[in-house]
Amino acid sequence: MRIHDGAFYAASLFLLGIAAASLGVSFPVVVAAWAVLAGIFAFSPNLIFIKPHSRVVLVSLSFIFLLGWVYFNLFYIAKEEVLPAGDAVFRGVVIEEPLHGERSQEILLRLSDPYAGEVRVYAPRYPEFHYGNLMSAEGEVRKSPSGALNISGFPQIKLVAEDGGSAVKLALLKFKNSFLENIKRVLPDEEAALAGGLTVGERASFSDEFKDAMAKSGTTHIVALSGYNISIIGFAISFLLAAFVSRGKAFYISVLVIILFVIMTGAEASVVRAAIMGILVLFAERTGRLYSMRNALVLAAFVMALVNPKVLVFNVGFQLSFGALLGIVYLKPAIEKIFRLGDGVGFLGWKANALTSLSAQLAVLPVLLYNFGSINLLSVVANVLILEILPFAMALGFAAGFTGFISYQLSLFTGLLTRPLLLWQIWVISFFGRISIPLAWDNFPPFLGAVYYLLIVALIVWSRRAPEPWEPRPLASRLPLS
Amino acid sequence: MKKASPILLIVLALAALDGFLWYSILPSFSGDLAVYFLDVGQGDSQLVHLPGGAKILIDSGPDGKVLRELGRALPGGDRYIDLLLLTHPEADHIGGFVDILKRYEVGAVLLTGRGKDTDTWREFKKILSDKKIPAISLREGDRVSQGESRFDILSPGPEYMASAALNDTSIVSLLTSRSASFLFTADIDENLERHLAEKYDLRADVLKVAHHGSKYSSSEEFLREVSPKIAVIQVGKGNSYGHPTKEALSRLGATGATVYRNDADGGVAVLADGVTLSVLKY
Repeated sequence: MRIHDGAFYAASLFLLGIAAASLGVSFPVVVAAWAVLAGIFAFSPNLIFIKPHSRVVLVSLSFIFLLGWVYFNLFYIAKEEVLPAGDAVFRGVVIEEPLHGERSQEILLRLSDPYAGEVRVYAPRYPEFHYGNLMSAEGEVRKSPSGALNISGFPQIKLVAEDGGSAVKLALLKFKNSFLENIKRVLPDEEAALAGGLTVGERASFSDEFKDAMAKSGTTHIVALSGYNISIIGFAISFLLAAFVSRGKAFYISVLVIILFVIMTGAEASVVRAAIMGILVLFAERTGRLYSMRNALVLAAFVMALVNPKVLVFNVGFQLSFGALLGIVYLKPAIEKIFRLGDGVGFLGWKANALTSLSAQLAVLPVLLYNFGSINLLSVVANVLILEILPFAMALGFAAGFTGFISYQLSLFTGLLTRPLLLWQIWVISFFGRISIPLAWDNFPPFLGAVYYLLIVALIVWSRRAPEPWEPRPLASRLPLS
Repeated sequence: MKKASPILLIVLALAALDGFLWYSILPSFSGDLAVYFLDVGQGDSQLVHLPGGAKILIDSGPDGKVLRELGRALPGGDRYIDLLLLTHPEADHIGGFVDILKRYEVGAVLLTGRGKDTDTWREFKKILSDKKIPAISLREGDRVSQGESRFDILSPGPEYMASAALNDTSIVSLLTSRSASFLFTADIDENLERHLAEKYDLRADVLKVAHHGSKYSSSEEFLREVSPKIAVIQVGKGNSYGHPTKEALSRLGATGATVYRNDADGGVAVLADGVTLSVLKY
């Protein structure tokens, strides 16, 4: 077994252990599961993914599964919460830039002694609080209905000091705010909100109606930062730097800028994933190694789970981001092969986009149903109509924000160029927010999700083993897709 | 196809930029008067677009929603508002001004000078001084005009400036332009209505109904004086004050005016072209 294959299995086993611990599996059961796993590795007939000479390595690596379980539980013990009870005075530091909304602001506070934990505080719009502020509050802290968050609604709050927080993050947030101000000065409100969402993932400016329309049309993901954003940044940097610095330096600068971008935008799961994988692409290019999508995916998940083991099971954004990408990487080729869709991309690549959206949607279907109770069957159509122009809208949105640093007039011009694209996307989102064919399923049972994913894996494996010149089946040949 | 030369592309881009600059510098003349009663929820906000091109925003609703409504009412890409007029510093009138001042270029702010001890008021004062935007205080007898259009300020007079009720200090203005007249009454109550009716000729084609249709405003005698053809109530759906009240609605109904309300009609615009008045729900 090669080293990178070993690393792949080790990271996967670690993630599996964390997943088991997250789901509350007790230690004896985990040990039993480990024994079964090791047994499969040692004695099973030759499956396609276990080569005979890998058995010894796999059995020895299987201990890492237990390690994942232990890691999660240790981490959980170390991060215990102590929340104020009843009406109490508590203090804390603002650890993210608050969401300055239309009617209120939403502040994430890390409690200081004698309490511990994080509280989401809702406050009136003014005075505005910012990242790094030390504040004191008097009020009640409650658990959110799901139990995942601690919430304090409109306590009496006071600014104690301003200078907490990291200097780097303060500077980055200041930059982000100026960037967003540049956009907001040149675009009408709704368009500015969308442009801010597409470029730096800013969501505070969305109206409730628009958020609702995005959710119903299945397009919320376009304002979650992802590989698109990272690619545009990577492209812009290499374009800007190509003339001035060596390729070696350009690599380090690109990596640095990507990391700064992630910190600046609040490190949501989708962008962290995209950044890790983007940096791996750059690294592969620089060292002349092959970029393996499989290894990059698992490494990204491993790093994120190491930093916060709870993301794996408790962060929907993490699941959607990885799920969608897995769908695009593995399910899409399978669908292409089975339905013989290999040739032709269509106008503006609509076929490729439709297939990409469909694969991603199919891959996250149970996650969406389990967490949100329904999906819009027309969301693939909405996504195709949006994805066509998404990269251009993003690039022009970045341009509008950046040209604002040079000249207001110039940014008015770039803003004007962006408007048709933004208006189109807003129209599509509102339209499919109203016209939807919902597939609703309250209390979607997880075991059904498991069955669904097993079927998908089976489909992928089957398609790979199928002979290359696939005989058209009567059903497939009649499908309009081909 | 031959690849386009980079020089040609640059020249084309510069030409487009040049055209755009001229387009943005030259004033736009639509020639008509337009008054938008913005659907800001429970609060007041009226955008007046004068035939001469000047844009005046009276009040800003309770929160940031006004930005969206402005985006719909202002011509696309317009980022300049000549005057902001704050009738009085209550939350449902001042709430969106800070957002507007952050995002739009503003010529000057008109107000009475009477403040209120709230965080929003402090934030408003702060951004005015940070951005060095001139604040001009208005009193009864003042006038704001452009070409044929004029705003006559009817209130507050000196006897009401110190009133304990902030609503009494509201700026009331009468706009005449393109042979049409509009009366903006902010949040005044029946006492002030009586006072104004005794002092002024209040006849107006369009009335911004006082205090969101409160039962203590829109008295019979006042409405008779104004005798509006069109009355607009700025009110939010399901507000906790019970606005507009059935008392005010029935008195308005008796005048024969056509009544529009933001909670039922959404955004309401009244246009005057010099001959007719037309109403647009948008």
